[in-house]
Amino acid sequence: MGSQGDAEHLAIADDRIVAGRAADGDVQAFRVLVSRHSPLMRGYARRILGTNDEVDDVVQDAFIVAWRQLPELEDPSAVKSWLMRIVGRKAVDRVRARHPHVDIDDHDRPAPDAAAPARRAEARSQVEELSAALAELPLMQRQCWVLREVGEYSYDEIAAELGVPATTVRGLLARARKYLIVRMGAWR
Amino acid sequence: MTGDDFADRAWCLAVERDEPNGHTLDELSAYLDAGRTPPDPSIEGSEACRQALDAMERLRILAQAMLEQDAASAADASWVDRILDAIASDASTGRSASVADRT
Repeated sequence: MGSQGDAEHLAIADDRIVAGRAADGDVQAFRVLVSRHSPLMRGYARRILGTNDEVDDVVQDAFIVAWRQLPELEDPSAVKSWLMRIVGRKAVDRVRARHPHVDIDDHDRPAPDAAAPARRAEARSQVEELSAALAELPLMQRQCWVLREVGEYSYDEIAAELGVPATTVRGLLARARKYLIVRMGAWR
Repeated sequence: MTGDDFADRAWCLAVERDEPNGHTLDELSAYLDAGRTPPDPSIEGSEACRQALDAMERLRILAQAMLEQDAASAADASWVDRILDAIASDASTGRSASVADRT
């Protein structure tokens, strides 16, 4: 098979095959993984970071780690969730480096009053509204919520990742959910 | 479920109340994450609790929609090239990045 045909074949091959070849050192296969999964990884990193600023760096770091560790991945068909784990960890590390002394109780902003008169400044989709509300959340709440709802982490896994007790995770998640729901209601 | 569920003020008020029917939001939020199992009659039997849970569930569905939207965008080709360059120049990997060997 010529390299052109090989590239086309790879582009439509499933993750198990592509990740297996990338693990064997095939850079074109790795390119397919980057093209295929980086949009989702970028979105995930952006949600955790709360800004676009460092997304490129975080996702690039994640892929460098992935390239190094790919031969150790036991189940190549699970490469997508494996990549998500790596980029989630990199994003959390970046937030921690940026804010080494975050007080989990210190940065709560009051939730908007849902009983306030409805005001809807602009026509936005609910996803856009969620995205905007999420960016307003205090750091720890935002990370908890994103790791839970996007990363599908358990409470214990979030606790380990963020270095706080699982009971704290529970409280942070509840507060994040409350803020987001009330915020979205207030835009109505 | 309609397309504009958060217009339902009852949801927001149920959530804002903090302790709908004596259950804290912490408790309801953790109950949701446990898949609403084992079923708790004092929660499931309370309209305010169900409204709060519905709102949190809706939020979860929206999170998935947000994720799908993120995933639907195409990767920028020049950015992908830069990633591949970074890997090729990462001498400490101990892995030879050579595509020529495979063709």
